[in-house]
Order: sequence, then structure tokens, then C-alpha cells
Amino acid sequence: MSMEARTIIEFLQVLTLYTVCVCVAPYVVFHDLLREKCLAEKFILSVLIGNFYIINVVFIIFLLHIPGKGSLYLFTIVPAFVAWLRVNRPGVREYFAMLYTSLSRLFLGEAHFRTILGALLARPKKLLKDCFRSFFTHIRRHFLEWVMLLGLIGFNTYYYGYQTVTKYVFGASDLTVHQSWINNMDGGTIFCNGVYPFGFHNIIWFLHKFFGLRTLSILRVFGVVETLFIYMMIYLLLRKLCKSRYLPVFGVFLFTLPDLFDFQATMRYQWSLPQEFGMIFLYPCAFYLVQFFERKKEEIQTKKRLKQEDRLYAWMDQYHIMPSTRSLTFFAISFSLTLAAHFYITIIAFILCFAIAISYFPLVLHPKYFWSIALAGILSLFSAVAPMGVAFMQGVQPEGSLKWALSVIFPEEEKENITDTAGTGTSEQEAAPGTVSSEDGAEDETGTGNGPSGPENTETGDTSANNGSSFGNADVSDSPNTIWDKIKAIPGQIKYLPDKIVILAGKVKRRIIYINNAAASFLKGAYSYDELADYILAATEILAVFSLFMMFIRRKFYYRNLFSISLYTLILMVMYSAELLGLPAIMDLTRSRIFLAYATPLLSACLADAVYVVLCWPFRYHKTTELVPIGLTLTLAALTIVYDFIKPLNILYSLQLPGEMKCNYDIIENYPEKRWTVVTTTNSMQSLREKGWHMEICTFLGKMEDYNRHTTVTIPTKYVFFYIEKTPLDYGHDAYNLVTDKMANSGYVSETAASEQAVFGGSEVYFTENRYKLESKLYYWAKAFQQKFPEEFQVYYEDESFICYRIIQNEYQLYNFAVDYGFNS
Amino acid sequence: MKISRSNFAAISVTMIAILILFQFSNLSAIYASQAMKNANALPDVSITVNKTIQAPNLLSTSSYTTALIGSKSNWETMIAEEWCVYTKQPYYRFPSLDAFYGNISKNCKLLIVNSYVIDSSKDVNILARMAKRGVSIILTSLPDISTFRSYPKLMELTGIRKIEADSYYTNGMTVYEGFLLGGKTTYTDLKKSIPYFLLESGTKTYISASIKHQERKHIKNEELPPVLWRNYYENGFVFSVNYDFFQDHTGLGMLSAMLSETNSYNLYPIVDAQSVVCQNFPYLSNENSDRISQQYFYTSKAFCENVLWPDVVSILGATDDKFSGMIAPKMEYSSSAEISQDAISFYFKQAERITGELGISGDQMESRSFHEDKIKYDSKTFKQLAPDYIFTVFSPGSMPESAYEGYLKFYSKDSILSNIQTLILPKEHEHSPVLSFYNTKILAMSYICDGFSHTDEEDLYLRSIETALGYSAVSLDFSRVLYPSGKSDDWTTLSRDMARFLDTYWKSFRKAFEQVNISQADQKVRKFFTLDYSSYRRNDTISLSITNFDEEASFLLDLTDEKIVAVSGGTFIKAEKDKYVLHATAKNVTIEVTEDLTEN
Repeated sequence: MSMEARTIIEFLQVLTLYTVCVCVAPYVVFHDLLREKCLAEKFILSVLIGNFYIINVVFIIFLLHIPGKGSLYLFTIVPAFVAWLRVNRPGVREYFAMLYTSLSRLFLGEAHFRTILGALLARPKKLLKDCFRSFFTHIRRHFLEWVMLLGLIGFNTYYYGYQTVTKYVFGASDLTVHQSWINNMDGGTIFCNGVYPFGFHNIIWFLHKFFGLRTLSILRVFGVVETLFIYMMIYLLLRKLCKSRYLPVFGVFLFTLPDLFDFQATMRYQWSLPQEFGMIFLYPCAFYLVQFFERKKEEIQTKKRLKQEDRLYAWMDQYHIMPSTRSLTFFAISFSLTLAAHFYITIIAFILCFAIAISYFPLVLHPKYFWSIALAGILSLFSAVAPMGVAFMQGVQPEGSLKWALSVIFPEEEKENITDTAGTGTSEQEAAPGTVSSEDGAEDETGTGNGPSGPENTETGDTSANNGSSFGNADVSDSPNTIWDKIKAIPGQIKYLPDKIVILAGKVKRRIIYINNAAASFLKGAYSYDELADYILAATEILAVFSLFMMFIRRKFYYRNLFSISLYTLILMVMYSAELLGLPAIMDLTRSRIFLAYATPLLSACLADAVYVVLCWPFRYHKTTELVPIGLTLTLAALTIVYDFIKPLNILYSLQLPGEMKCNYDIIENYPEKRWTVVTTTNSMQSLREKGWHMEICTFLGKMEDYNRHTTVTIPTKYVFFYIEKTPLDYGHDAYNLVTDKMANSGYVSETAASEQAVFGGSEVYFTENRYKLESKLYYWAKAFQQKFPEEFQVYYEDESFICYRIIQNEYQLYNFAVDYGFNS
Repeated sequence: MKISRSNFAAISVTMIAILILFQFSNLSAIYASQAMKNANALPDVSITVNKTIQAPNLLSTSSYTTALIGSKSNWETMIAEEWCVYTKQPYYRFPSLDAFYGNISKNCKLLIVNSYVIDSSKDVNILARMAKRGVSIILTSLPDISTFRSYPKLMELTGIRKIEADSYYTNGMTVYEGFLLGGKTTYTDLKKSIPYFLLESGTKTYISASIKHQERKHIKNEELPPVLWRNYYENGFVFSVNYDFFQDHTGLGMLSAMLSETNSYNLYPIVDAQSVVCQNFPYLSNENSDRISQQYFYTSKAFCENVLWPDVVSILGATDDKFSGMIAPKMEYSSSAEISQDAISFYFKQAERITGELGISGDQMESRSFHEDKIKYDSKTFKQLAPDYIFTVFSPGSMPESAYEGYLKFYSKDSILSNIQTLILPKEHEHSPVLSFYNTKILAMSYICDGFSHTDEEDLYLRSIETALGYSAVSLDFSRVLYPSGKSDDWTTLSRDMARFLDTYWKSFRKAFEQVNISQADQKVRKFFTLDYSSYRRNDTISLSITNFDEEASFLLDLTDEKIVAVSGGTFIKAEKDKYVLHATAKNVTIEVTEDLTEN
């Protein structure tokens, strides 16, 4: 089977199984509770419950130190079954009673088998029939939405799956580290490198263990699966926020088809990464928080009314848990899931919730709201932190990337370049793309004396002082030193007050213009076109002003929601420009760019919806008014296609060559477990570790570097494979290339490179230059060795950039791989 | 209850019919029996020596592919020469490397060298130059350690890194998988002192010696004394044999195995015949009855008919071996005991029933002077008692050649040996080849193993011959049973050993090769000698072209980590991993091969 076909099959497998686990299974278990909900809410609820359940089941079995297939099945199936029994108790009890009666009748000869069977199957048949009916009814009613949505999902599947299907490889260096952590879970160790949010890893491990899928296969395709869910969440939140039925599709369209965003804002969706996995739960936080406010308000009003009518208890009796509490519970679950997946998502979720809270000011401070939300927040944090806390108490130290996260927020505290995930050697900390903006800022500073601290200031090592003096402190040297001096100076300065006010007003004005210009300039890095940043900034401000204005005119939650989205986007923009504005950077640019981009469709759709609300208000938002958003979406889609404004295929990191991945699969599947060794770089190490052994090229070559006749290098497995990059990858720094291009490489291996002194250890051993030398050396080693063993040392796979050799050894008489290949003696 | 007449008649008729039907098969077998005629005896020998390819046909001074360096009388050279005949390699023999270097054939691909010819740096240089030209070199034994010390280049050539010990007493040896047929085997009884070398990288060891307390001495497997290994030198392979395998035919299969290691495939003809021969059985007389009855409570004749025959038939039946019996009419020709017609009738009929074959044995228990009498007596007796039976197989056993050669060579019409076509000689009989023509008409085949014993040495010998020829002839000498000399000759022990050995050590060969009687083996050997072949490989297709093809031909195909996918013009049987027996049914055979990832 070709790798392309295999990847597609694996994608379908993973998509199906993940959907079954997080959508179908929770829906079946909580069928009775979800029956009344709309499809959107059913979906979100199932996804939240499913993920929350799986992540915590895996945590429990690991923290109880009973990881294994048996315990996984037991802890997954039994509680789910019990919950199903409890939730569907009346129906189940009724069914079993009927089963008992039927069987009794059968044995007593009172009924025929067919009659009994018919009676027993009637309920499942009805359920199925209802499901199909509701499904088709739904499709019929929302046909156009589904067509548009499926079209966009289809495009996204193609767009984000293209790399996996055509190149087969991991596109990000982080993946190997996450794979290593998951592999360690196979060995019974969770948090192997320290305490870290393991939600993503738990899900992958669950799919791997429960269904027997290979971790390698899941990791290759799960990125696309999670991205589809991420996109669905945009749609679902917009459905909650927008008046129009079709503008949510417009939002998804904006994030899907046109080339609006910087490639770095969307590239990570191609890969299976914890941060992106956590993004699934970001918008559900907003969904349920908004829903909570709505329901709570409704409940308070209802309570008030029923209290007056003296029917309060009769009304309350129908609820075991109040709907608003349920919303808050699911808000807590989604918030806790963000923390379980990645810290950054929690930061963004916090910003989102903060924006919503501001929008619902002063309602949010009302004790009935505030304490519920606070409690939900605390509980959600607790539920997410508890497994990590337990692990910490069991003696596991925090993982290195936590320190790195702190170093991003407080750069002066931690100068060390700690990678996102330990061991990758390639963190995504890159030079701020907004260098131009910084320069602008510096120029401005020279002109006004009030600019934010530039990079030069940071170099002095006294950043905090600079930060402190970044606004309006140009006259610091002239100002009085003590309070008494200040007091003494007041009378003398009063006469200059009007002038000072004028100067200050001018300063503020200049400042606002400057910030606006600077932010727009800085935001250019987030979008693919310079003008777009201006438009987005303007759109945000317009929406903020409009919704704020409307909030005062009409006290509707709708405008509060719009305001919350504009505020959320503004905060993200500030966060993105934090360095420029002299604020502490909570997040590095590459990451904040992703969230800013992810917020843009919300903003655009909300703005469009505001316009729609204003324009179509006289028409009372009839079906015909929906023609406006439909027309807008379709027209823009058509223009995008006609003018070829479609988002170009993204980039990927030069981590592996496609041939390497092909060989990985081939070897894993065709060779007996633990009977083979692959000599290669570390990039495939974790993929191979599942079934075989791995030896690093640097170790292998290092052993024979100073070759003499007594040098011995043996590998004690029957089969030994050697992966050689004929065009060594340009690995380590900015080794990105378009997915349609060849992997970034250093050119063909050469004798010159082989003859140069290479480094045989260290964290940068496989970085561009040294990799080129090592691969060149290995290439010439293989040529020399093949001369000695022409029949035994065979080419196993070869393409234009990669070659794999295989040798089958007599395990009782191992080959000595040390040979003089011309560059090692 | 009454029975009607008609029913009575019907029942009676049915019973009579059943009686007749049962008896008829027996009676018809008796009347149609051809037991007193030899079904395997052909009116004339179709393939005589002049139709076959023998050494003179292969000797070539200018276009040889294999050069043998060594004296003509040297046993190692003789074995190599024999191997060339079996594998149809055009060859030439040179007394020295100098002589060879003066007459190098451009076709020369293989150099088989005796150790004693290497005694100067010039010889070493010639070998090095030949290796550089891509010629594979096989050193059938190694020169003295002093020669290695004198010529470091020889060490380099053979891949010896260091001489650890001039002589080291080894504790056995291990033949690794993929070299000889039969897989990996460890021989604990093959203990011997051999030079202990440490090898360079780029060498591949096929047989290594084992040593006592290896773990305690912290010696890795790769550092065990090598017995047979390959080194790559410049462009050629140099095989070194650090043991006396070439002192008998044990080296024969190793030559084929070594040649296989130089190419991606090695395709060579084999006999494809596995025979079991009962020497001195059936026994037709009743001598030594006192001793036999003392041990078995039977007379000799009764013991043979009631104990030995059923046992032999059942053991051979269990292993599906064909019965070939070399009749011993008498063992003591000085005694007056006569051969009975009953015995002849019994054994001949029984042999016919199991489609066995009968030949004549040359053994007798008395002095040498009685051998002539034996032939005369046997001739006379069989002329009287089985006049129609033509004996075509003769196993002289202990009979000296002088006693029977006249009968074979001069075609005495009256003799029992007058129609002999196949001669079965004892194992390593006077250094005779395993397979050869005794004269223009008579084919001589050697026994390969004794069926009542199986030592490590015998096992290695067997595997080597099987690798080279796909041939074995197991000798079961019943004179030991009829004239026991101790407890070890007790039939209970011997029959158990025989069953055990046949069932165990031939199991893998039985799967690959055909089990035949001696006459069938004779025909196969004649065809084997007749054919010539050529083969070449293009990508995954091996093409074989056979000349002098006569209905069938068998080949052994040795691959490297590959397997046969399809064969046109023949069929194939997988003997073991990478080794296939190919049965050609047409002159041109095409074999498709592909990578083989399986373990076995």
C-alpha cells in the first residue's frame, strides 16, 4: 500500500475513533440528558465530556500506578456503563423488565420467538429510526449550512492534511518529544520529563492503547483531526453569538479559504501539538460563560416572577441542577481542559473570559454571578491541576518548558534559552518579526522622548527600570528628587499649568496616534497583507465602539457579547504588541499570532453580524434577510477563487525525509519486534522505539572516528538498517520549507564535508552543518562497507534524497562495522 | 422365523461373491507377481561414461574459470577437481602459483589454492594481485603460522588482524546458518588444536571454533577462533579454511557454499537422491543360529524373517525411505548350510510388495580366500533358485576389488555380477570420488553415512555432501546384527538408533530431496553427469539453460535473503531459508526471485 493511501486510511481511522470516543460515546451515555439540546450544544457537550473523561481516566490509572490495557478498559468502560445505566435508568429498567417478561413468556410457551424478538428490538429500532429521522430532518432544514460547512471542512482537510499525505513526516520537531512522552506512557511512566499538561498525550495514548493504533500513525494525522474540531468550535461559538444563521459560516470561511493570515498563524494546525489540541476547548469556555449569563438572568427573572406567583418551588422541583449551574459546570470543564492541554490556552481562555466578564460588567460583580463563576474557576483549575499536583507530591519535578514559559513572561528572570519541550533543540523562539516596528518606536522615542524601551535598552540588563520609564518619563532627570522638593516646586509650576495641559493633551494625542500606528504596523506580522492589519485594527475598534454604544442604548446581552469579542481581540492585539508597548510579554510572538488569527474570524463575523443586525432590523431578520450573509459568503468565496486569493499551502519543518518515514513503517511492520536496529539521527528515534532499537549516527561514526585495525563497532541485532540523507536536512534553525517544495537541505553529501572534522555529541549534533558532515561521512562509510559486503549490505530503499541500507547479521557472529572509509583514520 | 428360498439363495450368492472377491486379489497378486524378476534391471545402460561430462571434458588451459593450484596427487586438489566435475566448472590445475600466473585465463573467477604452494612473498603478491582483479580465492588449508609471520601481506589478504595463539585447543565448532544445508549446528566432539586468529573488520565467519569457559574468559563470539571465514581484499574475496575439512569429502560442500558467498546467487546441478541401503540384508541362510538364539531366542532365519524384516519395513515406512537390500546369501562360505527356496521366495515377494530393490552384497565373515568362492557360490545358487532375477546392484562391502573387478570388467556371462550397473562402495573407499564411473558402463557411488551411528564428524560430512550434491546413501550393515560382537550390536539398540537417526538427521534433506532406491539414484547420477548448464541473472530474474537435458534435472539455488516467486520450465522446493531445490522440466528455466524477509 502506498504511503499516501495509508495516510488517508489512518486519518479516517483516527477521525472515526476519536469522534466515536468524544462525540458518539458521550452522546450515547448521556442520551437522555442531551435529548432536548440543539445539535450544536450536543456536539460541544459530547466533545467536552468525552475529552474530560478520557483524559482523567488515563490520569487516574497512571497515578494509581496501574497503567495497562486491562485497567484502561476497566476504568473506561465500567464507569461509562454505570453512568449510562444511571442516566437512562427508566428506559433501561423498563427494557430489562420487558426482556425478563419476554423470556418468561418464551419459556412458558406463551409467545413465539419471533414475537419476543420483535418486542425486544422495537426500542432499539425506534431509537435508530428517531436518530435517522432527526438526522435527515436536520439536514433538510440546514442543508445550505451543511453544504457550505462541509465544503470548508473538506478544504481544511485537504489544506492541513496535504503535508501528511504527501510528505508523510512529522512537520514539527516538538512532535518527537511528545511522542517520546507518549512512548514512556507505554512503559508505565507518565510525566517522564516532569510535570506538564498531559491532556493531549493522554488522548493519544488512549487511542493507541484502547484501539491498538500505532502512536506514530496517530501523531501523523491527529493534527488534521483536531484542526477540524478547532474550526467547528469557531462555527459553534459564532452560532451562539450571531443573530444570522449563516454568518458563522462566513467566519469559518474567512479562516479557511482566503489568504488573510501570516503562514505562521496557521502552520501549526498541520501538526499534532498539545497547544492546538487545547484550542478545541477555548471557545467552549466562552460559549458556556455566555450561556451562563443568559440562563442566570433568565432564572433570576423567572424566580422573581414565580416567587410573586408563589410557584417557585414547583418550578425548581423540575431541576436537579439548575441550567445555569450546568452551563457553569461545562464552562469549568472546558476551562480545566484548556489547562489540561496547554498553559497557553489557559492564558488565552483567561483573556477571553476576562473580556466577557468586562462586557458583563457590572452584572458580573453581582454576588449571584460572581461567586458562582469564581467557584467554577477554582474548581476547574483544581480539577486540571490536581493530577499534576498529585504527581508533584509523588516526587515528579515540573517539566522544563514551564520554566521556559515563565522566561517568556519574565525574560529578565530567565535568560537561558530553554526549549518549549525539552530535548528538541529547536524552540520556536525566533527574532521578533516586528523589528521595523521597534525601529519605528525607537525613532518615535527620539522625537518625543516618550517611546517604549527599544532593544538597546533591554541589552543594558535593567529592563525593569526601562519598562518603568517607558511612558512619559523623559523629564525624569529634571524632576525633583524628594517629595519635599516636589511640594516646594508646586507653587512655582502652577503658572505653567495651562501650558502643561496643552502639552500633555498633545502628548496623549500623539501617543494614541503613535500606538495605533505602531500596533497596526506591528500587527502586520500577523496578517498576510499590510493593509489588512489596519483594517482589522479598525474593525476591532469600530466593533468595540459600536457595541459599547449599543450596550448603553439597548441593554441586550447580544451587544455585550459583541463587545466581549472586540475586547478579546484588542487584548490579543495588545498582547501581540506587548514588547513594542513595553509591556511584559506573556507569550512569544509566534504563539500570540496564532491566537490573534484565531480570534479574527470571530471578530469579522461579529462585525458582519452587527451590520446585518442594523441593516436587517426593519425586516425582523426573516429568512429572506439571510440571503445577505449567504450572498456575502458565496460572493466572497467566488471572488477568492476567481482572483486566486486562496490561502497557499503552508510550510513544514525539515525534520525527516519522506523516505525515512516510509522505511520506518516498512521496518516496523515487516520485521520481528526488537530484532532490528536503525542507525539514524534522532528524528525517527521515538517512532522506531515502539518496536525496535535505534542507534545514533554520531555514536556509530564516533566509535570509528580514529580508526585502527583494532576498532570494533558491533550492533547486536539480526537486522541493521542505516538511514542516510543524500541531501542532509537543513535542520536546526529556520529549516522551514513549503510543503510543495523539497525539504530544506544542505545539498548533496560530499567528500569535502566527509573529510571535515565533525562533532559527535551535544545538543546541536544534527544541526545543519554538523549534520551535513555526519551524513556525508555515513554515506562514504556505507560505500566502503558495501565493497566488503556487496551481497549482504543491500540497498533497502532509495529515492533522490534518501537511502536506506540493510544488512542481515548472524547474531552469533556479528559484523564489525568499523571500516576505514577514507575519512576516519 | 423362516427364511424364504429366494432370500437364502441371494444371501448365499452374496457370501460367495464376497469370498471370491477377497481371495481374488490375493490370488491375482500371486499369479501376477514379478518378484523373481528385477523390475529395475534395464536391458542396457543408456548413459555410459562417454555421454557424460567428466574431468577431461572440463580441463581447459585457456578458458578455465577455476584454477586449482596444487599437486595432482594432493588430496585437497583432488577434492577440488572432483567438485569442478560435479559443478561443471572448466578448470585447470597448476602445480604452483608461478605457473598459474604465467597462464591466467581471462575467464578465471575462482582460485582454489593448497596452502603448501604459498612459500614466498611472490606467491602472496600473486594472490593479492588476483584478488585485486576480482578473482575469489579459496585457501583449502592455511600455511604455517611462520609463513604468516614472514609475510604480513598474507595476513592482510586473509583478514587476520592478530595471531592470538599458534595452536589453541578448541572445544568443538559451530557451523552458522546459511552456509551448509541443515542450518546452524554446534559440534562439541570436533575438538582439535588449531591456530587462533583474530580477524579484521570486513570479514565474515562461517564456522568458528568454540572454547572452554568462554564467558569466564570474557571472549566475545566474534573473537572465537575462526575456522572458515571470508575476507574482502581490494576487489576479491579470500576464503580461508583453518581446519582439515579437505582431507576427505567434507570440503566438497564447503566449496559450493563458499562459491555461493561470492555472488548474489549460486545455481548448480545436484543429484537429488536420498537412499537407504541395507547391506547384508536380506540374509538367506541360517548360520550363527546358536549365537542368535542365545540373544533373541530365534534361529537366524526366523530372526531375520520375523524380527528384522518387519522392523526394517516399519522404520523405512515411517520415514518414507525406499528399501534397497543387498542380499547376503550366506555369511560363512565354509559351512554346509544351504539357502532355502522359501527364504528367497519370502524376501523377493516382500521386497516386491514394498517396491523395494534387491542387490547383492560382497560381504562374508570368513577369510579373504573365500571371496572368490562366494561369487561362484552365489552365481550358482541364484542360477538355480532365481534364474530370472538379474542383479544390477553390487555392494562389495569388505570384498577386495581384486576379487570382483575381473567379474565386472570382463563381463563373465555366467557370473551373478555379469549384469551389474551400479557399484556401491564404502564411504571414502580408497579416496575414491563420491560419484564416478567405475568403467564405461558401471557407475560407482559411495555410501555417505552409517545408519547405525551418527557422530559430529559424520554429520558435518553428510551436510557437506548434501550441500554439494543433494545426495546421500545410508548404509545399514546387518552383519553387525547377525554376528553381534557386544551389547552395542543388539538389534534393540541398533533399531532404535537407526530409527532415531533416520528420522532426525535426514528430516530436512528428506523435505528437499527425493527418496529413491539405488537403481533410481543410479539413473539420477548418470543424468547429473550428462547435463551441462549456464545461468545468468538480470535484476530479479535468473535464467538457466541446460544442455544434454534428459527429462529431468535438479539444481540447488542458493540465494542471499531472497526467495523464489515463480519458476517457468520447472518446479521448486524450499530446502531452507535462501536455499531451493529446482526441478527443471524443460531446457530453459526462468526463475523469478524477490526479497525474503521471513526468518526461516
